[in-house]
Order: sequence, then C-alpha cells, then structure tokens
Amino acid sequence: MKLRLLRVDLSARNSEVEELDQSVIEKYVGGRGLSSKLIWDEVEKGTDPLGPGNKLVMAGGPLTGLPVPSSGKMVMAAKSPHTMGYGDGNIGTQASVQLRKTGHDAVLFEGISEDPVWVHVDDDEVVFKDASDLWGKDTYQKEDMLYEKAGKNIGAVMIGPAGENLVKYATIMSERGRAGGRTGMGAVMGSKKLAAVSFNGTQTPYMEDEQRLRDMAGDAYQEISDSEDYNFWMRQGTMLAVQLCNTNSTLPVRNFSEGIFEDAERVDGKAMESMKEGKKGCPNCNMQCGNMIMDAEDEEIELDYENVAMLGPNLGIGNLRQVGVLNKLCDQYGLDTISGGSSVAFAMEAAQKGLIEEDIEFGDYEGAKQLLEDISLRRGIGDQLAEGTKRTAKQWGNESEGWAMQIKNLEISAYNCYSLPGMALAFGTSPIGGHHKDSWVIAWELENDRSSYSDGKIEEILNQQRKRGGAFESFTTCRLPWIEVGFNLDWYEKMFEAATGISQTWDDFDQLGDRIYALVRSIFAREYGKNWSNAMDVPPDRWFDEELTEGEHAGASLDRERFMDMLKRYYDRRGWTDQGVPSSETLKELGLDFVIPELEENFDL
Amino acid sequence: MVSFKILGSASEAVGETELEIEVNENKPIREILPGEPLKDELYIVLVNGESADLDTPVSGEAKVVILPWTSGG
Repeated sequence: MKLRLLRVDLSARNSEVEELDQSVIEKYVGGRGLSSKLIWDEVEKGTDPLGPGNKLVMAGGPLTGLPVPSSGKMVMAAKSPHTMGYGDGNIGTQASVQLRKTGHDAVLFEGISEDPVWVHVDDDEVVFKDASDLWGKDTYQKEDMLYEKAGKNIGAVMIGPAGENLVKYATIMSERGRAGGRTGMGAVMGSKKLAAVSFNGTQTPYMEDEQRLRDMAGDAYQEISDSEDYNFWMRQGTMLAVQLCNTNSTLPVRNFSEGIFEDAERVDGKAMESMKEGKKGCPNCNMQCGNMIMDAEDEEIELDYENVAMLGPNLGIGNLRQVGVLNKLCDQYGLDTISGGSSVAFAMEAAQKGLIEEDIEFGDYEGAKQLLEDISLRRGIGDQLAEGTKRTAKQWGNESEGWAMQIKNLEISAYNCYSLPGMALAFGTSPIGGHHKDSWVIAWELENDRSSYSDGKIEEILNQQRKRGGAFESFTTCRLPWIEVGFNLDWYEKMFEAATGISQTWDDFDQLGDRIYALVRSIFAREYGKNWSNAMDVPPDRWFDEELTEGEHAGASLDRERFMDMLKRYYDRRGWTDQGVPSSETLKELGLDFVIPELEENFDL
Repeated sequence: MVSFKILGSASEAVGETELEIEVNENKPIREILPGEPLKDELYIVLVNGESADLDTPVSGEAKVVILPWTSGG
C-alpha cells in the first residue's frame, strides 16, 4: 500500500500527486502521524502561521472511510496561529469519506490564493473555483451554496466569518455543526483565502483484503450495539458528562471559578432528553453522539457536552435552548465553542472585576450572543478576544492571566481541575494545548485516589495519550467506542492488517503514539527555542492559587510543588528532559534522529 | 437515609436515578439496590466522595454515587 498525497499550490493554482511508500504508513500511519511529519519537514521554524509558508494538511488514515466502526474522521493540521506550535483537530464528515473515494489519502495546501477560492477535488481532477460569492457567508449558507453548485453527493468542509477574519481559534466546519481544528485551522484556511474544500469520489479506498474487512466489520458493529452501555449512550451521548461533572465538582462554572452549577439540571443530559428531536453523527458510526434539540430561536441544533458546558455553566447560563443558540452562532461563524465560551467567560469576569467597561455579566445570554458575534467579526473588544484569553490578559493586565483559562494559549476544555491533579496533568501535556481529547482520566482518578499525584495517574495518562492521541488520531477513527461502549482494542489490529496488509500490534501502535508525541513536542520546541520551558505545560494560576468554595470539594486546589514533581516524573517516563523536550536517546529510539540537529541549536538533549 | 445518585447505564439497570433508602446496619451496596444486578467492571462507585465498590457496606447517612466508565466529551 502507498499513501497518495495530493499537493495543492494555492498561489500557483496547480496540483500534483505524491506517492509515499509503505514505510511512511508503517512509521506514521496517517492522520496526525502523517501530518506531524509533514509539518516538521515542510514548515520551517519561524514561519508565519497566517502566511504563505504555512501548510494545511487534511489527512485521513488507512481506516478512514472504510466500512469499519466510526471511521468517518480526518485530521486537519498546520502550524497553529493560536499556540504557534503544531496544531490540529479531527472532524467527522462525509468529506473524510469522499476524500478517500477520490483516490487520495491526504491533501496538503500550500501558498496563498490572491482571491477567495473553493477547491473541488473530483477524483483525479482538481478544480479551483471562484469563491467571491461564498466569502462573507456563514457556514450554513456556504454549505447550501456548495450543494447547490456541486450537488449533494459531495463532502465539503468550509470556514465561516471567524476564519475569514483570522480569529485565532476559528475552526473548520462541515454539515451544520461538525467542527474540527480548534487550534485555529479555520484561520489558516482564511489566511489562504481558501473558503471551502469539497470532494467527490467514485473510487473504492484501498483495502488489502476487502472481504475480510467487510466480514469482520459486521461483527465489530454488532459488538458495539450489543454493549450494555449502548442504550444509554444513544440516549445521551456525551451529555451525561454534565451530571457526572456537576456531581463531582468538576464542571466549569463562571470561568472555572466553581465546580458545581445551581442550574445543572436544566442543561444536563436528562434535560436534553426531554427536548430531544433526533440524533446526528459522523459517517460510518453506529453510536452517534450528537443530539438534536430546537434552540431558543426554534431552529435545530446539535448538542454535545463540551459546547454545552462552555456556553452554559461556564457563562452562568442555565437555559439549554439558549445554549443551543450560542452553539449555533459558533457553528455558523466557524468559531470554536470551547475557546469562544472561555473568551466570553473571561470578558464577563473582567467586567465583574472592573477591568473593562463593557456591560456584560455572567448569565447574560444576549450579551454572550453579541460578544460571540463581535469576536467572529473582530468588533470592539471582540477584536482583542479573537486573539484568545492569554493575549487578551496581557493587554488587560491586573493579573488576569491567572484566570485566563488556557495552556499554550489554547483555552482549556470543559473540565475543572481544582481537585483533579491527573486531569490537570493531562491538560498540561496535551500535545496541542489545553484539550481533553488525547487523555481524559477523570473516571480513573475518581476510582483511584482522586487527590493524589501518583505514578499510577501518569501511567494512565501515557496509556491514553498513546492510544487516543497516537493511534486513533492516525487510523483515523473515533476514540469513543473504546471506553464508552467497551469496544475491544483487538479489533484495530485486525482491521489495520486487513486494510493495509501491514501487521502491527498495540505495542507498535503505542510506540507510534510515543513517536507522534515526541515529534509534535519537537515542533513546539523548535518554534519556541530559548523561550520554551516546562512552564508551557503548567495550567493557569487559578487552579493553584484559588479554591472551590461550594460543594463537597470546597477548599480544594492544586498543589504547585506536587504538580511540578508529577510533571517531572511524566517527562522521565517519556524520556524527555527536565524542560519537557525529548532527549536525543528517546528521539533515536523512536526513529526521529532527523529532528536532533535543529533541537540541539537551543537545547541540551 | 442512605442516598444514591445513579448515573448513565447504571440507572437503567437499577431503574432509578436517585434513591433514598433507610439502612440501619451496614450492608453491601449491591444488596441494597433494587433492579438488575450491576456488573462491577462497568461502574465506578463512590461513597462519601471516596472510591469504593459494590461490596462496600453502607448505612446511616452515607452518600453513594454510581457512574459508568466514560472518556469525556
């Protein structure tokens, strides 16, 4: 099997296909693995992430689009304008499936178009279409226009006004609510004047043993739907997490100042079920996680936990239909709901403390609507908040950086960690900034000495980072079936072999995860150089210097000294230096010798 | 009264999301709960905020939370 990489030069408006041999699959698989290698190789240190030198990768993996569970995902990656390091995000959309049906495994966009452009890939044909009429439209409008022009069989991704206006946490959107790339991948598209990308393919993606794959897929889907957790998952999906977090004082409430919310029952999974109109999800998935309700403007909206927590309790808003409107606005503008919610919460707290004169307070639904729009269109203080909470805090001062809830500039997703040292470390060492996707250890912490800073927590974080952040992001498949319904990991060895003809075990996949982590970290270290330190992996001061004041865990906070010791032990287990940079020995073991010379310019490895 | 908060698929097995049951003498959680028996490997059990299991004896004013293994949003 070879990987087919479609290179699209937006400046020259031409394209070519590069075939990558099997050794690339064996070492990097696809998705995040392939993307991180391309970004290391082709995006030089110091490149302006919003300039022509940055490259945007849309990469499926060997399982993407195949008839196996939850395989409708692809990864979108580039140098992040938000974190200024490696950035990516995955998205579940027909575009992932159609990408592979065009006969390509990944697309790499380089250069910058002079005028707004829509790139349509129709099997081997790449068409550069004028997008001047798309530019300025929201993502719902854009998608309708794309379907009208190219037919509803296409799979498409696009940006909204937030991406066009280079908001640092603009996402790439698809299918009215599917979002990916919260590290500002939408802004990278915007900088390239790339309004939309669509795929229409007629080919069957590569399968080494198609019959074997199809035979096992039936059993695999069956295992998922037979799970004892399946029925409840289909009822609430990720929305169960509202109740779970509120019960355990880990909900983000009013800019992460508290962990329980007085109106949690109005925005939790049970409340959602009482309003539920239907479900929505990714292609090839039989455990769809999206739940549809009618929002306060009587329009359909897909709800998931992160969006609800960050736009509800974190803003002091306890009306699920209003939260739905805020979610919809973010989707239409192509604005990340997590960073968007965190930025609005930051402004609400700043107003409360008198740092800004704006008349906005927690619980102010209309004010939140206005501010999300102002951020997307870069109006008023929205222009500052469009740069993210940390950069805004530097302007607003008054020690507000301590409650700018971000790590590596990326706003922390919806888990409040005053009483969760392990989850705080998982956020700190997430490869892209404050994000939960790679490692979510709250359940493990509740089960195993919640308040400890133990080696066991480090091992669990490593285990999840390898599997969720390495393997699943590179296959590229969703990580939810594994834990949520107990889908057996052995399936992935079998499916991978049938798809690629390459026999790999979970030991190999775990090493892939370590390789990706070392490579992504190397990209950050190369970019930051002398400005890099272990402080980049430390959560904001709020979790250390303030305490929860309400609920069973009132008085809880993180211990800075113990956290730093835990971080050091994490680095040791990874074979990284005390400053969190992979050692030369580790890099050699992982086959990443090629990064050593550039890192040695700034680090003693 | 021992209070139970039962989340996710555990609530489907038990048939309730919240319960209050009078338990005067220590008794294992699994013997107190109504409904279908819960499988140990599927759930996390907390008693007064501390990690426990379905065999943990409770009585009096104990607060029990039972939640499924999950992996975040």
